[in-house]
This record gives sequence, structure tokens and C-alpha cells, in this order.
Amino acid sequence: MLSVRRFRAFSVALGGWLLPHLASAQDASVTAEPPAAVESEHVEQARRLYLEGLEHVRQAHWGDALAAFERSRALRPHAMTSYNIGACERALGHYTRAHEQLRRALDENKAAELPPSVTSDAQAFLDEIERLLVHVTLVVEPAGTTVTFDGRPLQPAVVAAPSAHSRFVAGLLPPGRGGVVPNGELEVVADPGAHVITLSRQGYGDVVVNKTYRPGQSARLRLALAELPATIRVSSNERLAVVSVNGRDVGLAPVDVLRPAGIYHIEVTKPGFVHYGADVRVMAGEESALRSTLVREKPSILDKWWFWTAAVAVTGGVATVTFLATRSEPAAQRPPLDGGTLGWVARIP
Amino acid sequence: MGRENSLSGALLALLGLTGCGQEPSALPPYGEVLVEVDTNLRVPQTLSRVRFDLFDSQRRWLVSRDEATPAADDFPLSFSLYNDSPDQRRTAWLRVRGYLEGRLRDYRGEQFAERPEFEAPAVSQSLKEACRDAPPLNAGQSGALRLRGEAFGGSQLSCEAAGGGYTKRTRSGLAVFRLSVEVPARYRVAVTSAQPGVEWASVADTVLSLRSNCEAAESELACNDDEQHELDNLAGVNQELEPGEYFALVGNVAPGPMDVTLQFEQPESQSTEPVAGGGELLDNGPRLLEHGVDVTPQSEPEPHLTVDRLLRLDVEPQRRTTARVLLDGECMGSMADLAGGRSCVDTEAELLPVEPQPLLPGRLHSSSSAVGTWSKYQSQACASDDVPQAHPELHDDRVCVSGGTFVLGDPTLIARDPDDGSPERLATIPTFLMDRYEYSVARYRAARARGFVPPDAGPLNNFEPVTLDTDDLTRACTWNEGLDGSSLFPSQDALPLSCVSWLTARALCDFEGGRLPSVAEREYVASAAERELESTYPWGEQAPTCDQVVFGRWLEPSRGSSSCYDALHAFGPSAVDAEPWASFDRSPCGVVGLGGNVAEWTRDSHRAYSDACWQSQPHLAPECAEDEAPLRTIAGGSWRSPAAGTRAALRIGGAVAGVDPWVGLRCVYSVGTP
Repeated sequence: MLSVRRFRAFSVALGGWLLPHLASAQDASVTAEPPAAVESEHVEQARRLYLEGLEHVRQAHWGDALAAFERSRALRPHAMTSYNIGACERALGHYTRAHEQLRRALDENKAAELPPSVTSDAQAFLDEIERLLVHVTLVVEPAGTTVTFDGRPLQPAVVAAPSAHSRFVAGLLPPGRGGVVPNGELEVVADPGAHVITLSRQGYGDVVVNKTYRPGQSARLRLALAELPATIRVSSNERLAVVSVNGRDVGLAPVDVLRPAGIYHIEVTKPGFVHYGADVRVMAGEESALRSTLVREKPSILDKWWFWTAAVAVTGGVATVTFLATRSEPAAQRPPLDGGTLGWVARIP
Repeated sequence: MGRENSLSGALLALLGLTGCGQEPSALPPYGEVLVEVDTNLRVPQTLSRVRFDLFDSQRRWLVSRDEATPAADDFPLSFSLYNDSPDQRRTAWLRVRGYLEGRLRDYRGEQFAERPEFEAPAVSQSLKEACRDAPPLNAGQSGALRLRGEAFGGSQLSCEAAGGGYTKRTRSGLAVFRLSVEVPARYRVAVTSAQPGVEWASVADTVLSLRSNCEAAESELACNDDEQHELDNLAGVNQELEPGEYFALVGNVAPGPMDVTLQFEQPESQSTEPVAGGGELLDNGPRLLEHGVDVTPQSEPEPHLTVDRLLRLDVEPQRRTTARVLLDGECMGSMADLAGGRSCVDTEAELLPVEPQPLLPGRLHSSSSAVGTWSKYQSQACASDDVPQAHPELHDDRVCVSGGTFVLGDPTLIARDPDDGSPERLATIPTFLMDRYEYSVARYRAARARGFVPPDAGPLNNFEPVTLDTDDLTRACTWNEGLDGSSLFPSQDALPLSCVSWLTARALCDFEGGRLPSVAEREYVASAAERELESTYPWGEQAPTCDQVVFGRWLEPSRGSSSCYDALHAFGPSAVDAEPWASFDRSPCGVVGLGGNVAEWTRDSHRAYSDACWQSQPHLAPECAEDEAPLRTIAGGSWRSPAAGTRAALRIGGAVAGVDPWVGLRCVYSVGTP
């Protein structure tokens, strides 16, 4: 709580710093704009919004000022507008966003639209913000996990991390579904203060973590998602049918079997009925229902003596004729392998 | 007739034509090893499947095959490996695993593990020693210690109880942590876990004292009993501390050992510890590939109940040989080290480097098998004079149990550790004597008369007859004694002694010249002794009913009524030899009441079968023995158990100083004990 109060006081103090630059921004924006003869309606609207933003700043309405500057920039981008957006974000305590806007202002200043004092202040703000930002080394397991900070996905950083792992910035992207982060370690640059970190992955239980970081803190956070078991629900049209999973009896149908994700061979058996067998693939956290239909065994034609007698006679005749018609000189043969009691031979490559 | 003759003639002609082939020319044979696998274990009681995994010389996995061997005459098993090269010797690695049907675990790569060493946590024997050996903790760290059950002389902690009104004083030894403070701030020092836990709050309650001088009680800065409320058993304090060294002393209000974890927290703690999830990252190899497709089996034999043998076979070209391998019972539970090329041959837990397997010339098929010949199956028989004279009125007669080897544990008993019945293991039990009946009230009275003094308050004395009282379960305690030492209710003398602590139970068995049974001894009698196949219940496979076994006799507000209470209006235990229960709840060797009536203390520390305490144990007489264990195992079911609670392998944990009306004891004795 102490640190949160400290941030709030800090943000209010920023208002006093911002105003002088806003005044110069107004001048600069006017001088940098094209002649009135070629100004479009858009430019006129952009200037009106810009002035509206300045008015909000004077009253310390940072949110309203930010909205006005953003609408202005949408109509006509300008380095000074970006600078003021960055300054408003800074005043609101959105340091990652302030950092991005101030950097953008300097990038947009190719035509030297910003007075030197503004570029120097922008650089000073960037240096100051970099000391305030929090660096969280996040270790996420398993691969394929999506991460959000405060309900927003992470954005890959323009500036690479000094270490080998990837760097992301929290708070820049609009609220939405998390993006998949790389496997292993990643660095997240975030505002100081309280954050809600959410991890999710299909088949795993969500992890929601509340963390509070001091300005400039470097922290390491290891988050692992626990795999949800899969449920295989096996039912049958027959009572007292025995269910087995991978050869192990698990009870009488209907039965729920909790297992890790994978492929399972399900058999449902009952004396007097044809065995039912199926392979089921279940994903973690998934519930898979398998209804087995057991069919009463019927005496098969294969059980009739006359069927086999006839089959042997026909097969023997055909084989004999085929052999006589096609036989050739016998090939050289090797003595047979033993195979033992299992009748199994395996070749060693 | 004429037509039949012509048909016969045609057939003969056909046969003659087909038989007129030339003799094929002979090629030399392929190099071949006939692998013959035998075992000295019992089939199918201890081994009923064999898995073969074949690897090439680089130990790339070539093939996997799993064979059911449900009958003893399936052994010896044999098959052939062959080398089709005309002139090159080829080498294969063969892993042969004999195991029991259904005892599988998910395959997650080789998870080879040597048999672990186990060392019980060190316990300080005096305050001076505890202060000297106190583990250092900095802010943000936590530490764990075990404290002994018996108090240090004159060093008890005392604190006002949560809610006030009285003082709580420790009656155990103390655990001491050394705290190092570098920054002046408000710190939090708290016991974050205690074992026994809050479910044993009456006999397991922590008191915490924060001192600047470890051995000086007057240097105490803060003291706490229960931080949250009086039913909590975790103590904690918040204290402003200047830089320096401090000591946190933790004790138990009951005279029982305890495992405690203490957290020393930073001011404005910014934890970077793992906060969620778990799971382990494992090497997933080797893998079995078939035409580039991963067909690795999803499961593998559970190593604790597997004979795992690794062979190296050098197959010469065009030569026929035989390799013989015995899956020796001594090697059950000793996992082979595939990567290191080591496996057990014939000595328990000893892994030897795999040398090229000796090959016999020719393809030789054995005509006999070694199934069931393992020496540990042979046990000392009981002699008629091994069992001493009994006193029928005390129900103190003993049964001689012929030793043997069995599978300890039950994979169908699925519970949170440490109660889970897995992983199973092989256990060899030497011949011993066991009380036929649970230790009775009359027998305890006789022991008192002979001079027995309990180490604690002794069994809880119930001044009322055993009665149903839904608010006070101690009314079901069976021990009763008037002020003059006489029996208050002689009709209850044949009831099993209950509401007795582990400390008293152990002392009683020592007094009787015996000892508490180990978990393995008790389960052996309940499930395996004098049986061809192990049974689920002490009496066999049949689920119990109310007129067969004393179970399910409770009526409690939190649990409702139970089946046998409803059926018989019976509550609490029956006499140890009461019929019809004594005739049914009886093991084949004659021990009564292993399934129900009262559950019984054992001498083992209550730890999971996966714990190093169990894993470090040999086949012979395994037990998880620790001098100062916070929990001991209670085995078997009771009048308060559901039907499933009467199973032979059931076990739960109990605090050593705790007493319950459904827990009693019986003793075991070495053969020859008078």
C-alpha cells in the first residue's frame, strides 16, 4: 500500500513539469505545419483537438488530454503530439506506454520539428522512466502458454534484452487474449505497482497471480501450469459389462476414468457378447464419452463344420492347380531360425 | 465305385506331381542367439509379464514386445535374435523386465534412480544443542526442523493461549532457528506448517518464542500460541527488529515429536519464489521410432516391482548360440541403468556393469524351469512349542505366522500421500508370533497389576459404559478404572483396549516381551500368509457385511448414520472374540479382527511408500523406522470405518500422543519369546 501511495503522489507532481513543454509544443506545432492554403479539413480538426488537449492538461485532466492528443494524432501525426501523449501517459503512471510514445516522438523528429529543449527533455524522461520500469524474468512452463499482464497481451520489445531471452513489454497492447510466449525464459518490462498476471493453456488449469513491484525492481517469477487430467466416460448398452483401459479393469460400465492425456485402448466385455474395443485419444482437461454397444454373439457360419470342409476342398484344389502352373526351380534356402517358445525372431541391424 | 476310383486316382496323380520337386541347395545359417529367459519368482503371484526392449550397439531402440506369462509353465521363454551379415559380428543390447500384471507407470523417458539412502532428520537433545545447531535464516527464507517428543529439562516455552485466559506450555523438545536481521524493520516470524497438522490440534499445537539470547528466557521479545484462533495450531509473531541476531524457538504443547517449518519474512516482501503449478521437466528419451514414426510405448513396468535385467549380446555371423538369463527375485525393485550399462544380476540393489553375455554353442532348449525356487520363499516353519501358554480370560493367546515373501501395498488403494497404497514393493517376512486377538481391556488391567506404568497419561479412562454420544466420541473409549483401581464395568473386559496413544501402545508391547508389528508384518498376515494368492481383505475377497465384520457402526452429526448402525443398532467395538464376527474376520492363520473392530498401531513412521524411508529398505523385513517420528501408521479398519476401510492394506497416520476410540493395538513377538 505504501508504494502505491508513493506512485500516486509522484504522478500528481508530474503535472507541473508538463505544462512548460506543452506551451512550447503549441508553438512548435504551429510553426511546423504546412501553409494555410493547403491545409485540409483534417489538419484543422487535428489542431483543434490538440488545443483541446492543452486545455485539459492545464486543468490536470490527464485522461481527457490523452484522448484529445490521440485523436489529433490520428488525423495528423506529429512528433510534438507524440511527445505530449508520452508526457500524459507519464503523468498517469503508464510508464511503458510513456516510454514508447517518447521514443516515437524522437523517431518522428527526423525533420527536426521538436525544439532542442523538448528533445533533450524527452531523452531525460526516457532515462528517468527506464530507471522506474520493472524487469520481470518470467519462466513459463509448458510451451504454448499464453500470458497477459492486467488483461493485456505482451508486445515484443523493439529493444532486445541484454541476455539471450526474449523481451516483451506489458501495457502497450489493448486488452485482449494473451499471446503465446516463447518457451523458457522471457523478460517482461512493466510499470511498477500491482499487476495481475494470467497464464492459460488448453488442457491446463489457469494460473492467476497478483504481484506488486517496486520502481526499478528486477524480479524472477517461475510459473508452471498444472496439467488437467482427461476424463474418459465409458458406458454400455448392457449392464454388468466390464471396462478395461490399456488392459487394466477399471470397473463396470458406466464408469469415469481419470487419466493423463494420451491414447488409451478401451475394451468393454461381457460373457456372451462380442468384445468391444476402441482406441480413444483424450486431450488434457477434456472429457471424452464412449458408448459401447455390445452385440450378443451369434453362432457364425464359421462355426459350421461343412463350411470349413468345403473351404479346405476349394482352397486345396486352387492351390494345387496354381502350384503346378507356376512352379519353378526351387531357390537356395537357409536353415530356418528357431524363434523359441515365443516364435519371435528379431534382426540385429 | 468306378467314379470314386477315378477321383482317387486323379488326386494321387496330383499329389505325385506336387511332390516331384528338386532338393533345394543349402545356404549357411544366419548368425543366431536363442535367448532363453527364466525366473525363480512365483508365477503369476509375483511375476506375470515379461517385457523385452531391443537396442542396437549405439543403444538406439529397435523394438519393444510385452508378453503375458500367466502360468508357471510359460517359463522358460525363448526367442531368437539373428545377424544376417555373412561376415560381420553384430551387437545388441537387450533389456528384459519381469513384472506383475498391471503394475505400469507412464513412460517419460529413462528415470533411472539408484536405491536412495535415508537418514532421519536430526533431533536436538538439549536446548544448548538446539541453540548451537540452529540453522541460520535471512529475511525471506524458511527452514524446517524436527523437534523431539520429550521436553528438554527446564526449557519449556509458555505463552498466553489465543483468546486469553490461560497459559499454554510446551511439553516437547524445541526446534531453534537463528534469524539474521540487517535492516531495521517490522518482521514476521511464523510457523507455516506443522506435522502432525491441525487435525491433531489437541495433541499437536505450536508455541513460538522470539528471543535475542537463545538460552535466556528473559530475553524473550515476543511469544505466540495460535495466530489466527484457538483451533489453529500455527504460531506467529510480527515484531520490530533492529539489526542483529535473534532466535525463534518452537515447541509442541503435547509430548510428541513434530516437524515444523518456520518462515522469516522480509519487510514488504517481494517474493520471487515459484507461486503456482509444479511438474517436473524430464528427459523424454530414448524413443522408439518405426519408419520415422514415434511408436514409443506409453507405459513401462513400475520399477519398484520389476526385475530389470540388461544384456549385451554379440552375435557372430553364421553361428548358432544360446544365451540364458535368470530374472532373479533378488533383483526385484533394482532398476537397470540403461545409459550407464549396469543392471542387477543376483544381488539386491547391486548394479554390475554389463559384460558380453556368455553364449553356449548351439540352440539349447531347457526342459525345466526355476519358477518359485527363490530362497526367500522358503521360511522357517513354526514348531508346536513356539507358542506359549495363554490365559483365556485375558485373550492373550498367540498365533505362529510362518514367514514368506509377498507384495506390500495395494495399487487400488488410491489416496493422498502418505496413505496411498503405491508403489508396491516386495517384502520378505521372517517367522514370528502375533496376538490372536486385539489387546483387551482385561489384559491391560492385568499388565497394570504386574507393574506396567504408561509413559504418558495412559488410555483415556471412561467412567461411563461405552455409549453412543454424538457430541463426545470419548464415551466410546473402552478403558475403565475406579479410584481404587478396580474395574467399573467388568462386562467390558473383553472389549479391545482403545483411546491409547502410540507411546503407551509401544510401551505395552515392550512390557509383554514383544513389539508393535511393522506395517509389513501386519499386512503380510492380513493379505498373504498361508494363501496361494494375496487377498483384498483379511478373510478373502468378499466385501464385508454387518453380521460378518465389525465396521460401519457410527452415528455422527457430520457423517450421518452408517449401514451397520442402522442394521444392528450396534455402536462401538465388540468383544475381541465375539461371534459371529470372530469366525469371519479371521485370517487363514487364525488372527482375529485384522479387518474391523479397532484399527491398530504399528511401529512404522507414517510416510509414503515413495518416500526414501521406504525406498531405502531391503526386501527382508522392510520398515520405515525413525526414533522420533511425528506420525505413526495405524493399520486396518475399525467399527468407525466404511466397508472399504476394512481392506488388508489400508493404513493411515496418527499423532503419537493422540488417542482415539477406534484405535487399539496388538503385539508381535520373535519366535521363542516366553
